[in-house]
Amino acid sequence: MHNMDEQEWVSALFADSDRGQCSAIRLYGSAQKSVEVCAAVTTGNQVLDILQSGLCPQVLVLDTLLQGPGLGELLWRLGTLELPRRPRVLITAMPYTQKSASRFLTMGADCIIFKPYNMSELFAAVYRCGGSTEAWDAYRVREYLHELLCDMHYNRRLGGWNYLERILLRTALGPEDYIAKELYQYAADGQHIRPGTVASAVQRINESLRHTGPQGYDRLCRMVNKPEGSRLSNLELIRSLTELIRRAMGR
Amino acid sequence: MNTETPNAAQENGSLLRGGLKGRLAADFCVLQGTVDALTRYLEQQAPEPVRTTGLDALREMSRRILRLERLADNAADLALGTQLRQLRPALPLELVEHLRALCACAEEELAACAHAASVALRDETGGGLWLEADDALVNGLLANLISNSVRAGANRVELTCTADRRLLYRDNGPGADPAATDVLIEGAVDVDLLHKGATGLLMVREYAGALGWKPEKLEADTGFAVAFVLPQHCPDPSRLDLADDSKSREQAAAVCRYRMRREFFAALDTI
Repeated sequence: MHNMDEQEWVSALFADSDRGQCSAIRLYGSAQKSVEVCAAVTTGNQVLDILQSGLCPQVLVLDTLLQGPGLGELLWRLGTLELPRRPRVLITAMPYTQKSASRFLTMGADCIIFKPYNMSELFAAVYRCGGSTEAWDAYRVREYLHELLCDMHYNRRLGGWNYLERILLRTALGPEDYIAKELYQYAADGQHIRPGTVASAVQRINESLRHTGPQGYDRLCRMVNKPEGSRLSNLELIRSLTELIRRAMGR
Repeated sequence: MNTETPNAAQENGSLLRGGLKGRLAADFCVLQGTVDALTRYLEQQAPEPVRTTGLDALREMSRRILRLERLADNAADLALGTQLRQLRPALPLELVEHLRALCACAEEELAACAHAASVALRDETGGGLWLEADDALVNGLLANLISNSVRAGANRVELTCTADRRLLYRDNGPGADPAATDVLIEGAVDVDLLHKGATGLLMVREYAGALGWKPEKLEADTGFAVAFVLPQHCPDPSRLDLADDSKSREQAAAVCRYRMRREFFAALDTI
């Protein structure tokens, strides 16, 4: 079976004249694995220097207020550089500037996102801009799972998250028929662990969620038609999480 | 090479700043971005009990930022007043379809902040209703009206598009204070009412003015009701370029959702 969880990452170079925004981008970048933040710089010249030094990210994230040089000139100069591959260009712009900002789309930019965005929206836009369609689906599964488990106050440091993530990538994106044994085997493949270890890890998450996020757990119970306050089996937990993720993705 | 003269470049630069609302958005973006980054970092790296305490504090900061962002945005819209109508060009819009999506989005976002209410659309136009409007103003007007209704205790809102180019708004709440209706219809501000708030209704009036929608009294046995008489000018749909621009439609839907989320979350939240 093809492993759907081989994570495709996207490399990106960010440029925003606001230093605070650059720091936030670097910190957020260090706490996630999907987008590799090559650099977050504050001037157009720094972007050109980095590209000329040989680094070629998949996505350039450029703010419309960038100076030295401004965005129009920067896009023009990017077109003259000899790069191994043309990076995709995502523009970040102020609200209410649609008319003036959208002209950059005819000058070489590929997509645009308006402020105020939050970091998960920005990184999702970068990933969507630079990754394949399949990778984008997997990205959304990972992010929804992250959101669901964080809402239920699951402590990621307790471990087991990666196995659950692998299982949900299979159940949310693959065929709808599955049995627990097959899923544990799938998550264990290539990880030098036994399927039993995966089963214990999922059981540990199951127990932890029941205590840390009782409201969220009740919602999971409802998804598999069990009364609130019930205890879900591992397979029921997987089914209910899969259903929530599929719904959020509109599948 | 860059052919813009220094003056033209400067002018374009100021256009790209987005004025007062742009400056506010830039600052809120940095604040929220920093909170998001710290949240993500704590979720994954921090040991207990720093993790729980820190995440609680950051969640609280996010709520406050959202509230401040809404207040600042409303204050900017009120301060801009008549300038509001010049911020973005009015574009052809099919109102029934736009409202159908808006109603679905409003229901979802209300449910997400634990204020389940039905937001229904009745189409009596028999074939849609074309007009020229800035969809951001339409979203702002209805987000404010809906949050007012729900805050007053309504659990059902009904929007009706009529064949004589009117948009009717009704809810099943306790009905509005006559002074509040005067704010909306006449623009007459009662000082006592201002002390209780009422900026939402002032906003609605401002948005309606910018859209060229005339608010009128609408009789109702129960609940709050208002009618908006829409401009008669109707763009000819057969002459419009209706290419399937899924990217911009997706973006418009995301902007509408953000507006609803911020409005409901901030207006219906009690700190």
